[in-house]
Amino acid sequence: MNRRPRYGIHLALIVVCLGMACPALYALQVSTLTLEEAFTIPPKLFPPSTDFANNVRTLFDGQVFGRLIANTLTVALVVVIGKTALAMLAGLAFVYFQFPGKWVLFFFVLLTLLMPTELLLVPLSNLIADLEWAKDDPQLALTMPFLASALGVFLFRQHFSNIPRELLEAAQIDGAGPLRYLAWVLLPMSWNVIGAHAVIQFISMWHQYAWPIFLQLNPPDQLIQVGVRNSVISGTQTDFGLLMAAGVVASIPPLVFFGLLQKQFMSGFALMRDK
Amino acid sequence: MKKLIVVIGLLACGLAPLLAPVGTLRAQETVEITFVHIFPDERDVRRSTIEEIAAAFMAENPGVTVTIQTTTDDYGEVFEGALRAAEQGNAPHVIQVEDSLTQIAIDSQYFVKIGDYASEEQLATIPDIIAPMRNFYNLDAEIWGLPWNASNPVMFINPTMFEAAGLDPASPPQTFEEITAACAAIMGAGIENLGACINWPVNSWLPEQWLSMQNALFVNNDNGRSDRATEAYIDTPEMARIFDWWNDLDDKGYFTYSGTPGAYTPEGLLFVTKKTAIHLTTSAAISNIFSFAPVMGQFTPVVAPFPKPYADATNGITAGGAAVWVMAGHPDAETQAAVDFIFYLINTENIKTWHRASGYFPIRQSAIDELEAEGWFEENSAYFIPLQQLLDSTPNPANAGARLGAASQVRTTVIEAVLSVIDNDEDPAAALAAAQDRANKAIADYNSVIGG
Amino acid sequence: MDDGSRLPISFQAAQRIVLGAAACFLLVFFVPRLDALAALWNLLRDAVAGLPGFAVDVADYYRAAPGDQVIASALAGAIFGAVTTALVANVFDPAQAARGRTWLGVLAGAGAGALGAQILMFPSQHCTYAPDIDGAQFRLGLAVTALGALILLVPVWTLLRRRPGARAPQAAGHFRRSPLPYVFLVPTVIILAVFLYYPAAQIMLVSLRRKIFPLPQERFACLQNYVDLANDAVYRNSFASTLYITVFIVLLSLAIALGIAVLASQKVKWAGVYRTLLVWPYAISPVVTGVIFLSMFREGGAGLLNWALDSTLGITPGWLTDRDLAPWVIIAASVWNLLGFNVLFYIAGLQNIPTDLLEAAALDGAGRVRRFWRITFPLLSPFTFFLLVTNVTYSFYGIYGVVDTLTPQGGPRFGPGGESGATNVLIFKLYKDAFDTGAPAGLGAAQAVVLFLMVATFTLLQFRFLERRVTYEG
Repeated sequence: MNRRPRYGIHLALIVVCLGMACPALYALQVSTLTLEEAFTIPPKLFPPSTDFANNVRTLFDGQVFGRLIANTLTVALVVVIGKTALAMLAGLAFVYFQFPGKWVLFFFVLLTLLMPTELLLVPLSNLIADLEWAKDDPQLALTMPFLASALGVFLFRQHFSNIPRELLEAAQIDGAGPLRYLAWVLLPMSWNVIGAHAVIQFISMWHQYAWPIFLQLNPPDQLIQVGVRNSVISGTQTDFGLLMAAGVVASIPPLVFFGLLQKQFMSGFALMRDK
Repeated sequence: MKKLIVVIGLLACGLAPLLAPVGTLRAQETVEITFVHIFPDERDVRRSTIEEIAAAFMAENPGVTVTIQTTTDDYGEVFEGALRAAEQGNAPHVIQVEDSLTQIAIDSQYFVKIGDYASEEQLATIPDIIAPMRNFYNLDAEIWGLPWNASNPVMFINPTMFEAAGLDPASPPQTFEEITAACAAIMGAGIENLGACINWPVNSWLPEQWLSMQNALFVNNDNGRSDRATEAYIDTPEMARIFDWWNDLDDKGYFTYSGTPGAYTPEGLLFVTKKTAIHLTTSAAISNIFSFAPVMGQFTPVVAPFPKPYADATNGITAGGAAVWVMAGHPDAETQAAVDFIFYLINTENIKTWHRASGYFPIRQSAIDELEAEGWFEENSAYFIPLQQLLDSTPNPANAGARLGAASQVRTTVIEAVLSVIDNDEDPAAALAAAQDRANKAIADYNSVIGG
Repeated sequence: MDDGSRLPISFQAAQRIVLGAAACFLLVFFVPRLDALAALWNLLRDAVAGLPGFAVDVADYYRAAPGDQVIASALAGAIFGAVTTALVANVFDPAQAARGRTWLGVLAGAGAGALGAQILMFPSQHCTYAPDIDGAQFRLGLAVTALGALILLVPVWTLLRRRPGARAPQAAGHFRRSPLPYVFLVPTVIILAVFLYYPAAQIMLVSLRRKIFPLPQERFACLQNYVDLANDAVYRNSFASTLYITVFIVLLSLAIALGIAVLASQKVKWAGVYRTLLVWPYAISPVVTGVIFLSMFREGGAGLLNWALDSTLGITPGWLTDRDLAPWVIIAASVWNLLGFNVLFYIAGLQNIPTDLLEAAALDGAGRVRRFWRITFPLLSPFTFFLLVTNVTYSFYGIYGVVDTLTPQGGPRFGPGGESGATNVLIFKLYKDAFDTGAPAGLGAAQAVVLFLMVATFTLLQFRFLERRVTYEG
């Protein structure tokens, strides 16, 4: 095979990557513009202007982006860790135990696939009101409903099923109980899946929008996407520079998280297929 | 492995906010009240005025802290947000409630009557409030909320453009017909960069003003004041007159709007940047328009009374804007502080300051008298014109304004009908009939839930 | 796998650090909040304590309920159960249709049907069998009866289909019996029950009532909300808009993603870099996507798109104010948002296509396109199937952030009174109806139930039909 087709593919890939990045590049560019500059015709596409630092400062001062990011980070991490832990335990129970009612419980978990939180916002907010969590402890209200999910349980159940049973027999001979088996045998083999699951859940929590709005939390307790949305509303004329800066800032943490766990994420899904 | 370390580092970062105390520390010594208003723009002089008044209140009342929250300029969003927060036990103390939401606010049982908490001294200041406001809010019977930012509709014109069209800016058009004629002249004068002749925010409030001027009710049972309203009066000759005229202006290209319904500020921007020659809006925008027009458009606008549908439609206008209400569910000390804050907000001195900074008219007779004595209205006749129009109306059910629980829904049907006519070229008669139908359904539904 | 030799600490030690940090983090988060968590405990305790009272309520209700309504519902359920069980038995186990078993099955089906119907009839107070009910609600009530019957029928069918003794007890590969599995499952079950099942039940109950936010009163309205939805032009338009937008989002994002994935799976240098560069948009949230596209598609010459169009074609369409264009902005934004995720999965899928199959086909003379459609695409079907479900879920639920940012009013209006919005998708309308002042909350709940049923049906159908076609590797 001669080398020429490779250049064609490289070119195509570069074009596609640039195309995909176009909106984000545009956002980066506009986030450096001042309010007036964002309305000039023709639009200033290059070089970047100087207002980025100013915009970011407004975000962190006026719109308390720092607190919003801290809140969202905490909430996302709690859910990622908690959900992974509970899902692994549930997967362990379903795969390595025989017990009466196993299929009933499995069906119970399965059915929740069809109950998305998005549809349940109103009764959920009533429940939170009864528990008084939005008033006393908003972060509980933001994390608890998401600590368990069918997706996580299935992911780990699938993964554990694919692990050869001989390992369990060996561990039982060594006298290991279920928890030690989980920690010392299953866990080291599961980092890819955990990483993939963590990325999905982190990003999903980072993107939370309708739920925090519905709870009407005090502004310093809110999550980051609500902060981005509020940057649209305030003001007579939409300050697109500020708005794009908000989008850019809000997207950095999930991108960082994704970058860190990227290898796990990409390879974790190879293990998800049915064998 | 390095990645794992970094991930751990991330975890540690996540720990940092947890070290902050859980929940808000409630200040033991001071009473803290929150005030939610609808002027979120930091460049808005109304916002800074409010902050000054609050600071002065705190100076005079060292045991009280007033926290101001403002994230939206939409009355509906403030109302819904406050109610949802109240459901969670997080209700703010003082919020602005739009005039049309009066009935549903009462019905929601989430608010307290200011009258129950006001002292004798404070109650004695109520008769000082001008009659149209006392009438609208029924203050002589019971005091739920108190009017604070009350406004009237008003007309702005661009005198330079009028002169260019051969019209006299000193005698602006005052009826539908006159406006159409003036627009014909203005659009034919070849003014540069002119988008259209006239613009105003697409809402239900302005059509309701035109109904009031024609002495027509918006809902039955005396606009919902003698008894709960059971039907709306949308598909009527008076409303048809308004819609037909609006449709005509739009077809001829004389009317434009910003694209978003109810967007007062973008509409004002269209006018001050000389995209239109005539602008109908709320008197609350007077200060802002007068400060932005010379800067952004290099002209000084002229204020005129709100135009009538026809020369004999002299029944007058209703007031608009909002009142300040106190939410329930707080300890007595906080509720009392909130009530005190409200009476401070609407005392004569502060109402004068508020009026001068915004254009919302002074709701107190004493304030009007003092402003007149100071010569304010002489120097700033623009501020007096809308007020004069209000004071000239003889109170009757039509210009008392509508009291309706389902006001939000009914107003939405009117707005949707307007948009279908001007954006989608729907036939006004069909649009009105459809709107009437939906409005009646909404009212019936509301009554069936509450009325039983 | 992780390479422990690059750092001074071993893999094991690193693992312990991570575990320790995670446990620490959770403790620091939850321990100060034990008081608030106690509220949850109280709720559970009260719920359990209330169970006997609930049983008494049910008994009282049936004692007081009009007998003919209850009997009518039970009869309807029984007939439905018997008929469907007979059908299922014949379709699935024709060989087993030995007389005795079939009649037993049908009887069981009738019993399950009658009882199951009560599950949904009890909360609705058998109102659809009331003598004065209108035709539409009665017919809807029959469907609800059938649905309730199905809830009990499906487990019965599963039980009937199990051959006795067919499952060999797998002693190997399991821990010995202990209460531990229950302990492991308790947190998951509690969270799912409290935060998903309970609100789901609430929503169904509210959908039977007329309730207006923020009024405290409410009125029992049987199935009136559902009938109103069916007759509501705005709802039908919302339904149509949602389907239109969803179909295009799914088609476009899957097709484009597949193409990109094929390209990115070619063996070139820096393939890994390219793949990362293609997948990262997945991390951008719907809200931020909406915000970026808001800036790109705005009117006037300052928006990126209109400037480009104006310079080349001389047109500046009002993307967000035109009734036909606004949905396409939503579609474009959503497709962009989904591409990263789809590309990722398709790459994973393509990597697992065994090259020997493809080489064999090439040797047989099959061209590239034929090889793709005959081998690659069918082998990708598990991934296509998974992405179909995910993309549809996004188009139904996740799209709210995009719509709320781009067209906060629900889009340009149409319809005789201007009441329908071009981008007023079902989830957007649902939130507006639940959140707006004076909006009927019962109607919003009914919409949620309908939406839930739609997506559930779609997902179940997909599982049934597509999974049959899905080819697994040998």
